[in-house]
Amino acid sequence: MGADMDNHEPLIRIEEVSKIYHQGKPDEVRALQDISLEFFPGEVVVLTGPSGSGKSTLLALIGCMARPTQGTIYLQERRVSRLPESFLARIRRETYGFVFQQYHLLRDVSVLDNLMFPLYPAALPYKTMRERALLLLNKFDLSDRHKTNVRQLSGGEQQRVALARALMADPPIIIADEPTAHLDAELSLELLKILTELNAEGRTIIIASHDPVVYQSPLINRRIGLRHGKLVDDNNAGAGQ
Amino acid sequence: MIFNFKLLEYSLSSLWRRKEKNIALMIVYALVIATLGSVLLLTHALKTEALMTLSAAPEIVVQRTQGGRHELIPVHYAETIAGFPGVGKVTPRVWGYYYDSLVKANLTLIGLGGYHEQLELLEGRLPQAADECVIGAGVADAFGPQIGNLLVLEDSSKRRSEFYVTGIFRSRSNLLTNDLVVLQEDALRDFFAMPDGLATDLTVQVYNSREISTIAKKIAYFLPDSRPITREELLHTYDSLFNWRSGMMLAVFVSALMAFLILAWDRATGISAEEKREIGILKALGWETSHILGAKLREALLISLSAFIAGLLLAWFHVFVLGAPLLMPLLKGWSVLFPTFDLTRGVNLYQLAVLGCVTILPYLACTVIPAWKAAGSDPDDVMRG
Repeated sequence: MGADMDNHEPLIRIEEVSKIYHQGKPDEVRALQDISLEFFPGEVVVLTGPSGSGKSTLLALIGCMARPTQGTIYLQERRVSRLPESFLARIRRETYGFVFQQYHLLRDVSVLDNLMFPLYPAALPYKTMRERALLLLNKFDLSDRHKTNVRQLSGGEQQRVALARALMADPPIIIADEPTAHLDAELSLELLKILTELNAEGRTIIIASHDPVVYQSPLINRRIGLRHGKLVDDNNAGAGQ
Repeated sequence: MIFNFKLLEYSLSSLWRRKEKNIALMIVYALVIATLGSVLLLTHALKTEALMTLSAAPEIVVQRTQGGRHELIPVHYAETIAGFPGVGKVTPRVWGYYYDSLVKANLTLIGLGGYHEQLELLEGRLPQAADECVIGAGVADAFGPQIGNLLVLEDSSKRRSEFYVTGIFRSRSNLLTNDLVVLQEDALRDFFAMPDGLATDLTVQVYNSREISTIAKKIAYFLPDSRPITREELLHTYDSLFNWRSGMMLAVFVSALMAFLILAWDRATGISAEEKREIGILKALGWETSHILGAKLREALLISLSAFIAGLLLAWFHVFVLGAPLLMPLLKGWSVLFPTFDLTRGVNLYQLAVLGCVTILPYLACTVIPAWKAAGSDPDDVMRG
């Protein structure tokens, strides 16, 4: 796994962050307003709230996939919210593993290639990338499917491939946006089991979900409620301090 | 190095994933290149052909004009011209055009007199009697006679003249000989009812090529009714003629090029939702804008270079293997006869470079600019569309 984390210092610190889409245009959307939060190493946090509450936007800001309109975001006390795109890309590559609601696998590409794409910029030897990918596929019980086109996989299998891809760069933080949205209860529990194992390895996990299977799970040690882009609940704020 | 290979691998995989669209685009692209390339290759080949043939032409040809029309020139003008310092041999030529209504073709009939030196590439022998002739390959194709057969021509008073074919030109460069019929000079004078003491024109040999224009001016000065034409002027005329014709053709085909560029622009600017999604995913996974542009540039280069090379090969095959059947009637137009003849194979690299620039560069721009716009945005924005 990436960097060692000090449990007493916040891993991610968000200060008075707002995000406005299409600012100044007729279709302007205020997705987040004045959010301040801290996330600590080893936490398993779930962001809850109805659709349109700003969960995915907050995840995108945390994962350096978007920049706040106002406010500041720190990653390990490094201010990242105004960094140039090339730095942000490197941070995404080395720090975060993303699992998306729609899986966002590259269609018509094999499982193995989907896993290796994130490591291309790292310019690792092909053999190293392949070994790492096969190891992860074996861990997620997908080793016999490595040559399969991802289109031919079931929803649960695609979700596991997405999770395996998120772990390819061995990131310390896993970000998952509605990871159980397309899974039945049994597969959702299986996914939570995997996330539990990843947390046991020391990874911080931040999930956006309005699925009770997720936010009522004993795995979750912190729930943050959002509504209309505002923070309405944080049941364990400062737990890591 | 490894990353460059990885990007190339990704580009190939990306092209393969959208193979139907990309193959269709490559076919259109290659056809545009093949069309424009055919015009350029054929023009170049024809100009080379004419240049090669005219390189053996006399330094100066002197005609006579009267009332703005071409008239037969007195043979004694040759003595006047031969007296100028620097002038070598002055030879009167007798020749004329003959229209055959049966095959609807113009032939060029020439008297053997002044042509001995220039008619080297010959199968058979030159005419030695008044009823013998040598014909060009085009005439043989159009009329059918071979060596030993009769060629029948009718003069202006509908009198039949029969000539035995004693030879056929098989010149490597036969653009100027393909419609020729060479007769003995007396036979030609008889056929065209051309009086003795007059010729169609005079050819003038000049020892020093730097003096050609000076001697031409002298001829025009001392023989005011004459019209000296230098070889340089002839070459320039043919050059302009083919440039003009190819220019006309290119002007027509530019519309095809424009249509292709519009297609390319439409395809590229209308970057599909799937491609945008893919760019967003790659960015979210840690690819930088430069990585994505690198991959897209490789995709565009693979398509454009493959199509360009395929188009050029098609053009080469069309022009030099098939003999440019689609363009020859429009571009050659040298005489009404269109015999098949082998074009001199050659490529004008400057023209190819221009063709490459006007097709590959716009295509690259059409592909990379929209990808750059998408890749320059935050991945969250790209994936949200």
